[in-house]
Amino acid sequence: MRRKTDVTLPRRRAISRLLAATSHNMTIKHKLVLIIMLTCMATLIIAGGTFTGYEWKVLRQLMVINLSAQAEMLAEACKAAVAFEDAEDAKETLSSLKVGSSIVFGGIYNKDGELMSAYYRYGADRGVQPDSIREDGYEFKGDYLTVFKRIILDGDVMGTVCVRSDLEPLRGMLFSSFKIILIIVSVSLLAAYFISSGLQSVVSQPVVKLTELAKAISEGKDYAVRGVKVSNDEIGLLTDAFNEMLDEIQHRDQALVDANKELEEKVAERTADLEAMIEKLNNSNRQLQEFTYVASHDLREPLRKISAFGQLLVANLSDKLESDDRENLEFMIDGANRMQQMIEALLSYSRITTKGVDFEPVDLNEVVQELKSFELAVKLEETHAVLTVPEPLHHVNCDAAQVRQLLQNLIANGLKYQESGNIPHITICSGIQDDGMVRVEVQDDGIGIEKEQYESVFTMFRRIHTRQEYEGTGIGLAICKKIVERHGGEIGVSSVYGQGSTFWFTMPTALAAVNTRSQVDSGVAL
Amino acid sequence: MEETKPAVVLLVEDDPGDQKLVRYALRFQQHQSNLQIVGSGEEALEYLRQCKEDDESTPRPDIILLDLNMPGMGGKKFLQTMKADEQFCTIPVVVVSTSDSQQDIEESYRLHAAGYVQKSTSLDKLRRIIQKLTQYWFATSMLVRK
Repeated sequence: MRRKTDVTLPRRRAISRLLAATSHNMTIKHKLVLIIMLTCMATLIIAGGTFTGYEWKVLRQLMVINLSAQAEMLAEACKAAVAFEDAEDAKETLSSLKVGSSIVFGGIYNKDGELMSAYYRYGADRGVQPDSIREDGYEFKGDYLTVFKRIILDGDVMGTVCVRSDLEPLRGMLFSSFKIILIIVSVSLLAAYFISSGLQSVVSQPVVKLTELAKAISEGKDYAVRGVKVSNDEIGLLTDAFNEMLDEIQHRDQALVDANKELEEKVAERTADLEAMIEKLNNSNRQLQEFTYVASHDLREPLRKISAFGQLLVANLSDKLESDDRENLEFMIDGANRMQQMIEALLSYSRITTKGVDFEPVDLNEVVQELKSFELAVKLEETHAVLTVPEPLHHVNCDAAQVRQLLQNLIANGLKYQESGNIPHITICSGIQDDGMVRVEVQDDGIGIEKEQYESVFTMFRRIHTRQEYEGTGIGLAICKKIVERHGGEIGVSSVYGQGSTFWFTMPTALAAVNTRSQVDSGVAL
Repeated sequence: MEETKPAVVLLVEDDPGDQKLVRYALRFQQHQSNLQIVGSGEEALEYLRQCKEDDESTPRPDIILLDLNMPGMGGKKFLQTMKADEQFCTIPVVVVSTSDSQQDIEESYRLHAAGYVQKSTSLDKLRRIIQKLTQYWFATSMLVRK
């Protein structure tokens, strides 16, 4: 729209631009009034100007006619005076000019063109007389209208009459008509203002209403309201378009609300399902814990009896028993003892979840030190093992007791699975992985594990070796796996069969405790 | 301390096997003891009631060995009840249980148990435990004698 205006109507564009610039912050109501007022003013000025111009012309002609009539009358009256060259008579005739206050000069010239007699208005200076005389006619020159009239007697030119008038009456009339026009324009503009103020609402009201509606919608987000169409003009079309847009928005909004509601319902449903499932799981977990506790304790009782009374039997009958019977009894006691151990191992396996506490930053260097001094002290001494921690270990965020058990199991495994007579060398080191987890490796120089067994070593009660070769319940690494998984880490093994194994696990980093590392550096020179 | 009069041990234990094992273990000890056995908490309370009347057939225990898992009122309830009794609250009670659960241990001490030992699988170990207990309670620690 605007481009069209730009191309085809440059002048109107300039006006519009001026209007746009001055009325930038005006309401549409005021703009309309302003436009109407400007239009009215322009029209009135053009009309007034045209009228004044026309009046100017008419007045001039009237003046010419009047002055010409006076000149003619003078020419008639002074014929005799000219014919007789009677200057006094001529002057008498000229004195009639006194009546017209606007006449500044009157003169009678003889046929030679010499001024015979002259009349000057009172106070006027001599310079008002014309420089030269002309034939019949008039001229507007300077501030004067000058009329010449030849004095003709019997067909002969006897002389010339000249009458000069100033333009005061013309100016006076022009001024008064200008005043009238000004009053008309003012009154008209005032009327235009009141009328346009009243009528602008026909155009502006629907736009204002539409604007208010848009504002209310954008604030209240109520897309159900509609604009009222009052006419079939562009604003009516705009209202229609606006309403259509609202329809669309309302439709979409409703769809969105519906979808949201549906989603919320689904989420609530799923949450309820999940909660029910969690409750169920918690329940079964509780039952399982109770079962484990009861089973392990109740199962231990009879086993203890078998073992204890078996031993009592062996003690009491030591000298009466055949060696075969004695061996049988010992098998029985051993079986009971092993089952006891397995139950204990199962119990500790089940406790990994039942005894879980909040994670805290743990210094692995301290853990290794304590294991060396307490839990593993006897085994380390028996085997003369060399336990090395070449670099200070990273701190991890974990359940301290569980990680202690994890490291204890891994180190104990390294000590246990050795060729007999070998002095075990165990190295523990750690590093930070790309994913931010701490990776701890426990490396031994033991018998190693075949690749096919890498997975199964972590399975509960799965043993690779016979009990004659290596003692054990087959649950130690399963416990390790469970501990690591509870911490969101991974566990694995790599090995060169016959040369040693490296068990590794990952644990969350303890950021809070990292800055204390330097303090323990000196304490872990193992 | 009257060395001649053996200390009275009241064993509160429902399992006949365990009763026998404790009796067996006590027999091998250097310090002689007079073992009285009851099969439940209720029976133990009844025994203590009788103590007040007849000291001959039901002598006042110097120490009580208490099992926790028993039918009826159970060990903990018995412990609570007897520790509330003005006359018997001074008798030390050592809990002898299969359980090694922290909850059981904590609760027992909260109820003023004097000790807590776990029942052992091995006969030798049981003997050693009983030996340590008798050595401590009969020879090292002073008991309230009445």
